[in-house]
Amino acid sequence: MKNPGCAEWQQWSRRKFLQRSFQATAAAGLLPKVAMGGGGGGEDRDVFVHIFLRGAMDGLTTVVPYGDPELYLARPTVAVPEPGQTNGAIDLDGFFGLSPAASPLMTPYNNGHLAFVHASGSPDPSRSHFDAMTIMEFGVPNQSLANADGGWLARHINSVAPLGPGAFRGCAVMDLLPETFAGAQGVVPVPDMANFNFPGYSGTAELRKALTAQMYEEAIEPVRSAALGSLATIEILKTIDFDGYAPTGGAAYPDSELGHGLRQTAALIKADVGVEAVMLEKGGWDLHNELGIVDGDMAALLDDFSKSLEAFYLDMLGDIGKITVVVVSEFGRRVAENGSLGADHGHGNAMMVLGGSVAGGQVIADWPGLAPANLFNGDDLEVTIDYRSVLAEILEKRMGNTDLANVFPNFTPVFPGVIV
Amino acid sequence: MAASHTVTSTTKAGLAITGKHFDRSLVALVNRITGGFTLEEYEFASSLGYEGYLEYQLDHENIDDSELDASFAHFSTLPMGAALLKQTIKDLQPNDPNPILELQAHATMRALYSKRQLYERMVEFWTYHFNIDIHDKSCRMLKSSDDRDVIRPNAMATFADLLSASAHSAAMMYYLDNYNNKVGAPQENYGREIMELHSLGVTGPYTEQDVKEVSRCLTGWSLVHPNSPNFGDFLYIDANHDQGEKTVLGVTIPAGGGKTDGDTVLQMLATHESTAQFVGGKLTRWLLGYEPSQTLLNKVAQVFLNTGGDVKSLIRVILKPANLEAFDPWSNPKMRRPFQFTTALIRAVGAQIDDQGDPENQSFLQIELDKMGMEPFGWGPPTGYPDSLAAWGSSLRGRWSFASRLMANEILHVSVSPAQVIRRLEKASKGDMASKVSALLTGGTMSFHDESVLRSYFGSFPEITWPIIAEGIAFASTSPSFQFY
Repeated sequence: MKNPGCAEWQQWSRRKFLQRSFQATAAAGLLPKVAMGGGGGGEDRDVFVHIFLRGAMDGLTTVVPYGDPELYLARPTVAVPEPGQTNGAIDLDGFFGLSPAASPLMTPYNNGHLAFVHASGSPDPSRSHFDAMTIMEFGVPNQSLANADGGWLARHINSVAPLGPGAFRGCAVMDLLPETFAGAQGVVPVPDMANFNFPGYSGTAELRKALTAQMYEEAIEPVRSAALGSLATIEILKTIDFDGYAPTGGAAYPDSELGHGLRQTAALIKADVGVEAVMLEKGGWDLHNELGIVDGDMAALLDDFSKSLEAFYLDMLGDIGKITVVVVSEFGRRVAENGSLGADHGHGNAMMVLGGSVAGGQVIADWPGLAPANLFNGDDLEVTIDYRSVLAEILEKRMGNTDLANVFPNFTPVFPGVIV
Repeated sequence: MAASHTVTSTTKAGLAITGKHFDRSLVALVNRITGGFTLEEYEFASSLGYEGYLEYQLDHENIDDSELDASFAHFSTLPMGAALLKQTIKDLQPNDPNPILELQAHATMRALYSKRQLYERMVEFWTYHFNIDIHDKSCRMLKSSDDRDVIRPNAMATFADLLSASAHSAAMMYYLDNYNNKVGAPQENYGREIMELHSLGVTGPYTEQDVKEVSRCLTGWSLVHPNSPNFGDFLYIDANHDQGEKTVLGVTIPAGGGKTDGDTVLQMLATHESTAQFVGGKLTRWLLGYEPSQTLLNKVAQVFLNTGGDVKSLIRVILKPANLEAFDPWSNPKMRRPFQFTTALIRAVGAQIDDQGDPENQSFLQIELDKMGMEPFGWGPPTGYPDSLAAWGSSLRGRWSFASRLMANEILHVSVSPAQVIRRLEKASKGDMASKVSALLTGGTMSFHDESVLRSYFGSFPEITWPIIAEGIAFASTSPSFQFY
């Protein structure tokens, strides 16, 4: 959501700091280990990478249902045109097309490693961003939040055996721990993996670490776990040379927060330290005013997002069978454009699933249609595939979870076939 | 009432900490209505008594803050109108005064060093209640005037004043898009958030239809165009207003109301019972702690309704001594957000900003706040920075790092004076260093457990030198006891 707009600001923004730390180490030092698998648990489980697009990404722009003529009636001025027209969509399957601003996603799509799941999302009717995010992240649409003791991914982590030693099982590349991870064992927020160190004079560091652990042993949760988890994470991350990390596969990460975050995520996964889940986010999608699908905000957001994801994909291609990436947003945007060339809050949306085991190269959808009679509450794209069904299939088939009812209470998933 | 109590003053006889007894209710009050406990602030509060000190802080306009005011003389962008701010940002050269930097530095300096500490706490509360992200496009050039003309003049006024001022704010117009809300083409962003986030709360009794109707009432509410010298002034454009009849929360607003449709809605929202519960409850959690009793919340809501949301009346009931005691903050402490963690540590150790009149020098502190996840005015979504244990309780390493580097004088332009700190610790010996550090940082309210671990730290060294003390203070400030208050 940060959008520095002037040179002066750039001088000292965190983005610049990150950038500097990457540039300063162009000469590669110690490279992380590239050995994969094993990881201590001996299980064949994917590392789960979760990207949350905050602010309601417009799935009708990203994955355009150009074959549905109602789209162009509802959005006479801000719809991506059909393939073949100026700024038209890139055809995916004869009905859906990809926004040209997201064209880098064609690389994994054409390789059969990326699937889109359309008319998907949370069935909860909330159109509040913040409620919808909490409901989605806790995994309890259309029921009391009290049915969940924290995030859905936390419940998964806590219910399977660690892949590694267990003290560091995952991280969020953010300042604060997202609700998806709330209550997870061995998961802390790590905004910058290259600088997650223990501060102060090295001669007293071991003493202070031991005493810090002792001090926090009696603190309340989540502070206690966060302190102990941070100490463990510090020890593990310091063994990895993030600054000297050289991406493979010709990956070119954009100089953006998501680009940096995914680059560090790749280095972390390749270092094989037992990490099981990493979560990232990208905000700024709440485009009520001027969607900007050709050269405006939406196009810029999609450009950075898709370049970042393509780079991560290429970088991880050698180990693509060991990761699954899922991209979600809290809800979609209104089918009809509004008076200021934007779109208000909606309901159904498009998800993305990427990985070596993904049934990719297709748009998975039970398309409800955009005719007014088919819309949710008369305004919005219906949700015909519950996001929990997508996640549940991945959890069961790729992440060793045998208790889906614990992760998603009061819900019976119908696997939509996102995994081969 | 001209007592000097800036955190920069040197130790006076009255500040002795050896054998001192701290009143825990007064320490709790000081931590609630200031940027953090200091020995000087505590002594001053002690001289007035709990209620006397609270009343002193409530009467903020009569607290002389001229010395600090004078240090902002060189902040040339703070008084600028929107048109000038726009021009300044457009022409900005690397060494020019930067409106964003000056605004952030101003907020941080006032939180650190103003004598109107409670007022600054309320400015922080309303700043994020009516959140505007300073990085959000045009908000870059308009947040300065929102801070100066909307938040600060009304921070101790009534909720109705705040809500109305915010609804007329140019920065808010851009941030939540209402400037583009027109008849026949309504734009629901602001219409939704004003109910969900600013007044009724998400559990309030409004429907999706109310979101649409409120948005219709606010059509035509806009601002003067960027190319005009009066850019940023509120402008109601009648031609863009939906003149038809509306129904909001079951109340019919007759056709032809023009601009008054919006004013009617603001009045309805400001005085609604759900607003009294939601905003009153949020303020109670801000000042007291996470889980106030329903009895107190009802009392606060009643005061809200009786006084038109008078902020001072609300503070009085929330922080009434009996209510503080009943809440029992010692068993139900609240976690400091990074901003307050930072101000509390800097205040407690009496650290200084070099040449306070130069916002460039303070930019380094803004970077530190950003690293801890709380850059001033930097929260993207309109929710404002969260105020919960769940949100902040997992992010600790950034605090450890800040404390360590602050005490090692590694943060550019922020200086800790070893001589001054040592003087405050009154030649503590190895044996009583831990308790004196606890007195310095927390008014002796560090938990027994944390203080005994701190004692182990000092006991590990044959000799206590300044680097050991500095790291010890940093270590103490990373303890759970210092994160909570």
